[in-house]
Amino acid sequence: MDTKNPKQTTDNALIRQAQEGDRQAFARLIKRYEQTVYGFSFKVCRDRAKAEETLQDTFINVYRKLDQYNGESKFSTWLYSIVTNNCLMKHRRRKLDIEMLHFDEPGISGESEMLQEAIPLSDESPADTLMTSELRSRLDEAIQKLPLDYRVVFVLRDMENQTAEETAKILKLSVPAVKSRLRRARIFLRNQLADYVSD
Amino acid sequence: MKTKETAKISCADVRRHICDNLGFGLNSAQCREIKHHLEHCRDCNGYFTSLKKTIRLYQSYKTPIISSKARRRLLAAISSRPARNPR
Repeated sequence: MDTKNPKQTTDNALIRQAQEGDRQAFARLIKRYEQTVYGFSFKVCRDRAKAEETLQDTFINVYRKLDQYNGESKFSTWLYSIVTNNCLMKHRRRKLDIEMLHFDEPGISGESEMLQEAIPLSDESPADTLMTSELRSRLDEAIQKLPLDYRVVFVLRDMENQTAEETAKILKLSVPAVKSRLRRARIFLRNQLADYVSD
Repeated sequence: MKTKETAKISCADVRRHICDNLGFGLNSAQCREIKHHLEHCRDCNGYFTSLKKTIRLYQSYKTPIISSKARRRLLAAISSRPARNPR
């Protein structure tokens, strides 16, 4: 048990209680993570109704699979893997991608050895930035054109601040594959929004 | 634009790697070359700035808060599931 991190300890305690059949403990887990799951789903699918549906399916899956959680990874990492799978499955079923973009996966061996971290931005952007509806639409359109396998990497790394290692674990990818997809996703989105972001 | 100061690495190479973490604490030879290039190449610097702006826009896009109706529906769905058997 991790005594240095009270929240992690409490998560583990709640999970144990829920695994023993305590519905109240599970309800507390839901309360703690519902916005994380909903927010992630919304960022990926850009649709409130779909995000709500994913939220519900995710927690039903968590409830069913709770015995499979063994505490080896963070609960949030396990939760992200379930919600990501839900997003990917729903997307494939609905065939939402209108544009078939061909992103050739580059060879990993020739990739730069440079580390890839989230670009620090918080000091440059006020949290309460007002965004016009036109700009929000442009951001929605651009990210929806990004193939989902790349979109989830961008959301996990640049919006949810997951590390490359955690993202790799969530998506069952290698760390170089995560870095490669993130690079391509960032460039794709930048090019889609060039008229907004270029001087 | 390639000048004497930026000649070690091409603009194409810089742009290929430009959206990796540039610099903040990294000291590999390639990172140093890219940072040096960016300091002297206005085009690549502008490109990098535009990448950072793109990410910042997505980070500042506020996601909606879950509705109370959705929360009620979720809790009802869980309540309707069979009770878990203690392990």
